[in-house]
Amino acid sequence: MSATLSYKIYSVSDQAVTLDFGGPISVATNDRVYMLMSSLLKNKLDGVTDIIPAYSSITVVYDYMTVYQQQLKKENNQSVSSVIKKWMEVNLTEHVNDTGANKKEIIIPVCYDKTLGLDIESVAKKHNLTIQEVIELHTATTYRVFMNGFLPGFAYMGIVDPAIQTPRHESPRPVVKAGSVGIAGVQTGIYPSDSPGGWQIIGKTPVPLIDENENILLKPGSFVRFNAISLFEFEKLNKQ
Amino acid sequence: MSIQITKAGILDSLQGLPKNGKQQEGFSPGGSMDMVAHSVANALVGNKRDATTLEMHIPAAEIVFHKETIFAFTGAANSATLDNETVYGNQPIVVNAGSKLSFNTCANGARIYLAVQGGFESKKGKLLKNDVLNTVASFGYHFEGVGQLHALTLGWTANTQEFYRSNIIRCIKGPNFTVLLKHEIDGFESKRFEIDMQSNRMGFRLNSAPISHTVPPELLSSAVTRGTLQLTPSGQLIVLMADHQTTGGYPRIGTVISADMPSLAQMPIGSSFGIAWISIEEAETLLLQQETNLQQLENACKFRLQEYFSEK
Repeated sequence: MSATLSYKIYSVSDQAVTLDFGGPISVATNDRVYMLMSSLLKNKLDGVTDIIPAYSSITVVYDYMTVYQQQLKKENNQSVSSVIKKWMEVNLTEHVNDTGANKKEIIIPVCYDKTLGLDIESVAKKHNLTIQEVIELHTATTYRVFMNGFLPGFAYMGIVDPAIQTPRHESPRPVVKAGSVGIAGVQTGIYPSDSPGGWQIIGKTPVPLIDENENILLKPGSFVRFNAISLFEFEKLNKQ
Repeated sequence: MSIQITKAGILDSLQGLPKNGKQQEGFSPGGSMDMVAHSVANALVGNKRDATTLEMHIPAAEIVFHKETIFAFTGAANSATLDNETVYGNQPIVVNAGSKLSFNTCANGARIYLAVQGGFESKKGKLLKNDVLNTVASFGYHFEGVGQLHALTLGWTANTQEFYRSNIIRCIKGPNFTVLLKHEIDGFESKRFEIDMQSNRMGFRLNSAPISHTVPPELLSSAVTRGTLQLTPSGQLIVLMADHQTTGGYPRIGTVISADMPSLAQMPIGSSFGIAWISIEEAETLLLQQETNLQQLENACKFRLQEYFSEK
């Protein structure tokens, strides 16, 4: 891995620093994000409360006072934000082969019936494909969870086959049902709960993405494949 | 021990310190909008800062105490009515079982925090009429009600004025500050921002003369924080508050400093403020000062309470 990969590092609050490799969305950049993440998790710093990976950046959220008091003990009078930045940059040069990604594929059953995949017909038309071809292209790829965000348990996944990439709706639907599978540009994702949303809905999964104890299924770094199921199977699984 | 909500207010909820640690999975940390008022209310009744308080807006809930306790309220209310007596904010008050507390409409901010000795058991979501809020068993100061009185104020008041400012909110510049056009940057500190009706615990929409900016290249979503100033395509700002989403894709032109978040949280809808840019080092100094002052106040409250009950 090249050590000269460029990045920017900046404070996004007086208690958060972001290290940003820059766009566009790519597997290689996201690998760097997860390598840095596992290095940061390995070489913990007191006072850091969250390490939030995104497509091409990683944000460290910290409790100012805890870090400040630690530095005071070490008689270090640098600003707290520069201590955090330094810690992140040191970890950047560490060569961690494990990207922290959970290599086991998670299989998600999806029913692509147009009663559930409200936009699958228009997506197919737009690309001069049959619905079946859209299904085949959407299920042929192993996707990675680039990041979570938007809603608890919402996973931003990619990269969607260029043949079916479709921009989001100009105005979002007021309600997209929980379990709806959508695409937006290079991304695909599943709504974990009912929510307004602008993604092109091509199917629905009966599998819950978040349980009552707030455990989520699709975590940052996971790998995911979709498996097409019939409406009958969907109904059967949905009742369980 | 419990209290009961006999009349619901607007969006009453139980709040505490932000719950960090799950933002990478999309969970917002949440927590009290005004951490200073939350902390002082707790300190006044002898609780630690992490105890749960009742956050209320105006009009606030009406409450009945089911058992004698010590309570305090802070934030937007200077006074309240306890049965037929007037009681004041920022003071510890001993109250009998059966007493009813209601808040008048006079407001000195946007949010009221009520703490009782021991703190409340956590409960999610909006509180409704007749909800009973149980309190956590406390280490406790022992007292046997207040006899014929409805309430007994213990005789001291926490001065919280130094923690709040109006008019100017201080921010650090964000990674996308450069999308602002030069004349906009030059005149930014004379702009005024009004808190829109569509503002809540997730974020405040700010109305201002549209902010001229270049159309940024499509930004990849990344983490946002409490206080992030997002610029929407129409040139208006949204400032993210306690229940913010964990990531966002709008240009981030800056972030409100932590020390000024309590002041912002207490600004009612319709009020307006200006923005002043400061450095990260200045923001850190201000946060350290605020935290030091807050800890001093908390210690003073604790000391007075201990002293009062050891003399009894």
